[in-house]
Amino acid sequence: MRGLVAQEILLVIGALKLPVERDLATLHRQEHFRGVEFNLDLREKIGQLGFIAALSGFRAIVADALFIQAYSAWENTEWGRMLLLFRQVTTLQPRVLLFWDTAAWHMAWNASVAAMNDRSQPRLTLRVKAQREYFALGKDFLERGIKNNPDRPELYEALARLYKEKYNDHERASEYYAKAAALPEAAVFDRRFSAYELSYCEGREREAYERLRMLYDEGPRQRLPNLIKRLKFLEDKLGIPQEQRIPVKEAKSVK
Amino acid sequence: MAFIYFIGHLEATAREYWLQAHSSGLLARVFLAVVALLFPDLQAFNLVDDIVAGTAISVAVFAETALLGVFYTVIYTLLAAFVFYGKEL
Repeated sequence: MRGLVAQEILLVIGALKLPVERDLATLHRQEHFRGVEFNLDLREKIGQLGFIAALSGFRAIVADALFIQAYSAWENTEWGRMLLLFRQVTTLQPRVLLFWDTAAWHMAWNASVAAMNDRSQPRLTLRVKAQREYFALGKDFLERGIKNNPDRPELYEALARLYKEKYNDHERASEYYAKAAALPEAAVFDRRFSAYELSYCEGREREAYERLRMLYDEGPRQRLPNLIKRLKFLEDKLGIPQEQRIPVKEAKSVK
Repeated sequence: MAFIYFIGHLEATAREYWLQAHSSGLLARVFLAVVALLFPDLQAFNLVDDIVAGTAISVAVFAETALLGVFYTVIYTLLAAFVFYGKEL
């Protein structure tokens, strides 16, 4: 009898607590908590045991264990398994930048090189195709990482590096360095790197020159060898009048 | 006890499905409603995974979570006392 009464009380109190719980859940989402939705898609990705562990509040530990497994997969050059594991890890911990960055690095730098050097594939076209697929996987990790962490500059920097080193796309690299530079915790070099990358873009030399010159005019801390070198190159290319150029002494010191 | 722990972590999912009126059957909806109403939302206290990832807790989140914790503790303790009062243990 008492049990029944207690259940009825619980139902009434349950109706009262619902709006509070919903408000709190909304607040959590606004502040980037509860980034992981526990649904069938996640269940399929991480397996039954992992799902139960993640449900019971051990999401970080499961993600760490999978990350270690991914490292072992790397040692054995099991690229497909690594990809699967990194997808699980990043699904479980979407706010940990290290996981996105490492996943992208393994795909775009390590797996892509392995694909290009794959001796079991004699056709160069297919090796290049596989390499590009790994570049795309690395890019995808970084783009999804940015979507989950739009307020952190590190992944923008990593994507800029990928565009620069793997796609040779200086324009996009400059764009992502600029996006990183616009964030509050950006590294001091982001603004400079964005201008460097722009200086390699055909047709945007004037803009690059103005940005580099602005950095140069900020003072000696920005007058680094690479900046002076790129500035000098653009001065020559754009035919900047002698009186407007940076002092020759500084230009010589970096040659 | 362990089941309540797991159900508590699933309560938020059950509540969302129930309140969002997904096209599920009557039986499923009643089941989800019972889970959402009877069990506490333990996922609300599971903030450690995000904290280790560098997410800061605001005062509002901390206060509301702590209040909910106190509310659960008081209600479930009182109900347990009510049910077990006078029983030979």
